[in-house]
Amino acid sequence: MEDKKELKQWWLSLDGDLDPAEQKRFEQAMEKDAELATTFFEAKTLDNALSKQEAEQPSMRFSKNVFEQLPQLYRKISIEPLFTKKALTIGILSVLSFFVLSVIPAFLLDGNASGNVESNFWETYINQLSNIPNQWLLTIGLVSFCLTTVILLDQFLKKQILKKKQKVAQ
Amino acid sequence: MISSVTNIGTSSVQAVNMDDIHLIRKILQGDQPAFRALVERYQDYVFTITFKVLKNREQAEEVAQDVFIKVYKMLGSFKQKSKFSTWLYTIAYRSALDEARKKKFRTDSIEDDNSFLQIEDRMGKSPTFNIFQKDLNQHLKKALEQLKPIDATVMSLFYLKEKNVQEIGEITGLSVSNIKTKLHRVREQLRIQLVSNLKTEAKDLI
Repeated sequence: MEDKKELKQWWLSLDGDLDPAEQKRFEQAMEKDAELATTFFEAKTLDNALSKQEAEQPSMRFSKNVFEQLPQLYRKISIEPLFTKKALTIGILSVLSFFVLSVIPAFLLDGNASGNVESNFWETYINQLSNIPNQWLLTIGLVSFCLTTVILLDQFLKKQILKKKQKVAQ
Repeated sequence: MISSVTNIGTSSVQAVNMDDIHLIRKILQGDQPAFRALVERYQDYVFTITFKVLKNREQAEEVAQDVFIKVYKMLGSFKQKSKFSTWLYTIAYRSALDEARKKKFRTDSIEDDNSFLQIEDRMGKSPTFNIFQKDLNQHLKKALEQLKPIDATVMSLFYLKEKNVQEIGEITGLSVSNIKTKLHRVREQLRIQLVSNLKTEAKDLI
């Protein structure tokens, strides 16, 4: 570190970097030395002027430009629903596909259905369901229930969060 | 969601009065008016730092805007080990330096050439010391614009935001002794130059 002697005493004094004894000696020196007193006065004047300098101001558009980017930014951190509409559509389509795929073979294999498919549709489907083991039915039922619960809960939470955000913003 | 950005209302007024840490908590909870308050609180100082380094208003403004975007994205990583303002100014200073390196902005110092003297020579003649004092701010501003980016930033942090040398060290990455030396050297240079010009003017008048 640079020695105090190498630094100008008047700046050390103005910054409060002189200890009480050094400060007293400096003040005494100023009383005897008019040139030193003048230098101190000049430094003090400059120090005051520097303290009064104001911060630069950006254009009026500055904050607007920042805030215009906020919607994009907030979208990034907003809580997206666990299941989006797309995922929900895929889920429904998957269930329907499963239903169709499981029902069609049943009709093809069932000889009674070949003559009047339309009138015997539900009867045949229910008959096919009764042939499915109970454990399978229980599993399918539980999965359907859980899936529906999660989707509904997700939609409910999404609405709640949006309401809360709007309330805060207002 | 977009409409809520513009709809700030009373929440914004409350945010203005909050301290930085409280504001940051609010922002992390998704409070948009709190971020607006934070930007408005610091935009002048962040812009001052980027301007001191880049010495170009348009570039400085772009970088300062990017600083706030960065801050928003990184706010979750602010560990509160230092003041928020110190953390913010560090980002501002480093972003401006990066931009300066890319654009290769002029980084001359007042001791490197005579630009400071030339500017002072062009200033209007002040008949008395009082008039010199009146114009001092204006002349000083011109002189400060000629400083090296690092010197100008240190001076701004020390005087505008009244940051202590430790905090300035944190922001600029310089040692405390280096900052103290810089402060002494730059101010002494300014004093000598201003006094020299005043004496020249006084002689011309006589």
